[in-house]
Order: sequence, then C-alpha cells, then structure tokens
Amino acid sequence: MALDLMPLFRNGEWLALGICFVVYAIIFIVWIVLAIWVYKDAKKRGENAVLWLLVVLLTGIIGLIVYLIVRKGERKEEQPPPPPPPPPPS
Amino acid sequence: MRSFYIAGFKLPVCSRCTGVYVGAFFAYLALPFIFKCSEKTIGVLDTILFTVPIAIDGVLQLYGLGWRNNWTRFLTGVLASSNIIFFIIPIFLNLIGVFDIEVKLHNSNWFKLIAYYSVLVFLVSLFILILFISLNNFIGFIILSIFLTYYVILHNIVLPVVAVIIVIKYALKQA
Repeated sequence: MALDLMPLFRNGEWLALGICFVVYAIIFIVWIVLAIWVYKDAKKRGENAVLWLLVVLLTGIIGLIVYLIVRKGERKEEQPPPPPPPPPPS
Repeated sequence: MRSFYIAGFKLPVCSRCTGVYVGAFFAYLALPFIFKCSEKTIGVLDTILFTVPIAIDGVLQLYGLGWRNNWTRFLTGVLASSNIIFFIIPIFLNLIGVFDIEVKLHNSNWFKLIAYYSVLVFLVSLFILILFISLNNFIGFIILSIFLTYYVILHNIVLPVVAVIIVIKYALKQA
C-alpha cells in the first residue's frame, strides 16, 4: 500500500512542524550567541570563563541571569604601557 | 504511579529522574560558586557518600522493603545527581586543561563544601517541585515537561558523546 503523505501537507501539520523547527533554531542560535557573549565577558572580568560558558549552555536563561547578578562589577581593562622613565641627568 | 502529576497530567519521567534532572540543573548553577572557593582537591569517597541514599532507596524498593514514596525517590535523586555533577564536571574540565584538579580518596574541605551546596540544591529543588505541584497549573506542567525532555536528551545523548570525545582526545594526547 502506497504511503499517502498529501493529507499531511493539506492539513498543515508540516507547516506547524516547519514553524516549530524555525522557532527552535532561532532559540538555539540566540542561546549559543548568549553563551559566547558570557564567555567573552567573563574572560574580560577575570572570572572562570569556561565554567560560566558551560553553565549558560546547560541552564539557559536562568544561568545567564545568575551570571549577570553575581559577575564582578568592573571589567579588567587592559592597562596602557607605563611611560618610559625619564633619561638620567647627564 | 511512579511519576508526579501536575494539573492531572503525568510528568514525562519518573519521580527519581525528575529529582535527578532538577538536582542537576541547580548543581550546574552552583558549580561556579564551588570553584570560587579555590578548592582544588576533590574527594572520591565524599562524593560516593552522597550517592548512597539513592542506592539504598532503589535496592529497598526493588525488594519491596522501603517506602513506596515518590518524595524519597525525588530527594535521593537530587542528592545523587548534584554530587555526581560536582565531581564529574571538574574532572572533565581537568582533562581539557581548563582546571588543575587533584583527585584524592578523601578531603574534608571538599566534603564540607559539597555538603553545604548539596543541602542548598536539595532545598531549592524541593521548593521548586512543591511550587509546581501546588500551583497545579497546565502551563507549569508544560514548562517542567519541556525542561525534563531537554535534560533527558542532553544527559543521555549530547553530554555522553562530548564526554567520549574528550576522553578519546585525552587518551590520544597521552599516547
């Protein structure tokens, strides 16, 4: 007996499935982008970046909220090189 | 019978697995705080101690001796999963070279640390489950079901594959 797939297309199940797939794909991409942002931000602030990346990947938005609450207040800006010492008096 | 019901609907996994996955979620959140305490020595026996209750609960129920209660399954599941995560994740981070962890048979500082965080994870997980069950809301059921399904896929397919890749890479590096 041939498998008739047309009713599925007619009834809109595939459309619903496609929409769900697109929504999940968007959520997944946003999730990954947020995790990468957390990794970079934690690295700049001198936190344990890999651990925070893992936490955000595994716990999602809750992990991000916890990170935003507990992260250190100030970024560790790169220090400009110290000015050269003045030449010794001759 | 072995699962919790919310708004008349049965959760997709049993009560023990619900405990395991909810405990795992809060254990992941606790990990950065544990390793902020600059504890770099982890104890094997200390971790095994916290997984003894789930073994006792399981064996007693297998032989029909223990409590036939979903709450004991849930709470022992939380305790076991949270401590396994406190133990396993640093070891894998050690293998990929992120952490420098020393594994000992027993370390009293590590025991105190994980005991403190286990109690915290235990209480929060219990509170969250009681909240979901007492709200008895269909939306709560959907949220918890999606979370549990996501964690089942994550912990039974994705993370084992990642773990195997890490171990193979480590073994090749050592060879």
